Amino acid sequence: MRIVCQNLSKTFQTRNGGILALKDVTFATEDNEFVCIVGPSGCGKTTLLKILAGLQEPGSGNIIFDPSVNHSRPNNAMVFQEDSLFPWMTVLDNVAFGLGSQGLGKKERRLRARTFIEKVGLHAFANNYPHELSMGMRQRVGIARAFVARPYALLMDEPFGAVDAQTRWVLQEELLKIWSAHHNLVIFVTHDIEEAVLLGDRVLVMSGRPGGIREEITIPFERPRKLSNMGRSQIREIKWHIWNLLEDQARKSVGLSSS
Amino acid sequence: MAIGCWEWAARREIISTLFFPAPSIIIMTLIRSFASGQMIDHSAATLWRIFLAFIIGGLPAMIIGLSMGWSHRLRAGIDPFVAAAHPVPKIALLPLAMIFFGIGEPSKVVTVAAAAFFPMLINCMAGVQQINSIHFEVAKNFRANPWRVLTRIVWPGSLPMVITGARLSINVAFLITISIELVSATKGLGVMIWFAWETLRTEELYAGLIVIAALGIGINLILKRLRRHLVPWRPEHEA
Repeated sequence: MRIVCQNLSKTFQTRNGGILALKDVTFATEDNEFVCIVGPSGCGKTTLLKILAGLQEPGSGNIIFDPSVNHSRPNNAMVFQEDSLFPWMTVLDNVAFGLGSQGLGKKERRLRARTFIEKVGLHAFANNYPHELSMGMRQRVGIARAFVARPYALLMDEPFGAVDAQTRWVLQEELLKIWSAHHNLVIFVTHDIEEAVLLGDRVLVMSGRPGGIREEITIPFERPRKLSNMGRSQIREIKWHIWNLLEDQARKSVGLSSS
Repeated sequence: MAIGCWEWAARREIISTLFFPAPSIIIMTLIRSFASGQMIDHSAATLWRIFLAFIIGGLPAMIIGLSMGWSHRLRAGIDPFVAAAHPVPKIALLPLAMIFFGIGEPSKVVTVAAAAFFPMLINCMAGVQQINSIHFEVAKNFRANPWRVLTRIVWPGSLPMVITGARLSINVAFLITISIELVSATKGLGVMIWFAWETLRTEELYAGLIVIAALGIGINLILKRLRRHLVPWRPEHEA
């Protein structure tokens, strides 16, 4: 499955007139690629993802899911940035919710949910409520909920933004492991340049508001990747390149003039 | 200790037994009124009115309130009427209700139902509104149909406030029921204490008040238990 996005624009209406959030966003993914999107804060990364997820209307432009898919599998599932688990459901029921609209019996739903709970290492917590879990564990439940639906495309909005650095390492490796077993298309939004370089086949760098794709960078590392033994100097080189693209806008977004 | 002093003072007639009959007398009156079935009749009449009023006032309020919380359009349409009708003291509706429904039971129950309606409606509506919008986004992303949104998100997400609404609603219903019974009824705890006052049987008055207090405490305890049972996902300190 691939996504083709053509001249996507989006304007938000506010009391002081329209704000152009996205302007002529154009990109195409390969089949089952891992695409990372980085950009300065406020550039519309989340908006772009929510439009792809069908949660917001595009203003103008086209989004094509290719091939357009049958209804037994959803074409996308989203992992949200903030805590999006249902506090009134156990881990098991939260994950099973991902299967709710696929016409499966309750038993089958729970069986499949358990498989994915095991994959994210939370089998001991299947009957716990989210408030009994750490932030990193909750994010893993969110990932399991999205994977269990077997979507063609997985849309991830800074899923590891709220977890500490060590946990993030573990989660990144887990994500790569699950992804390599399931091979869906992943679109992964992050503000962390290193994360984008470590995970992605390709990194799309967005410009500041109005957001557009400024450059596409192919990441040359072989799969499967082991995060701990990747070429440090090469990573640093790519990071600097991306940082140079973003620097001006990063300064602008905190109110400093470009140097 | 305090009750002991009271008993002693009442027996020696240091305090007036008209105001403060001896506790032993009150308890004897209480036991006698239960044994004769009289207290049970009065209590049953009061509780039955509260129950009926909750069924015809509280339950529709729950359905309307949840719908209003869920649908912006419905909320915009109904909210002005709620805002206008809510502050009216519902006991003032009794005379009007009597014109419409006669002096029998229906007018009383309708008035109590009107009082029970609003706390339930407002809490149910707020209960849905305070659900984080991300939960609805998740539902949409996973293509949940309206029935699933209702049963898996709207209902469980608002349940803590629905229970709060039920508690407030039943408490108001209790209050209004007793008030109505003071002015117009032939049976009920309100009637009983009013009759006790008219005949200056203070010990009966106290016995009635004890039963009223016990019922009030009992109802609230049951609802608190119910909440702990139905909302296990809320950490205790937030509840």
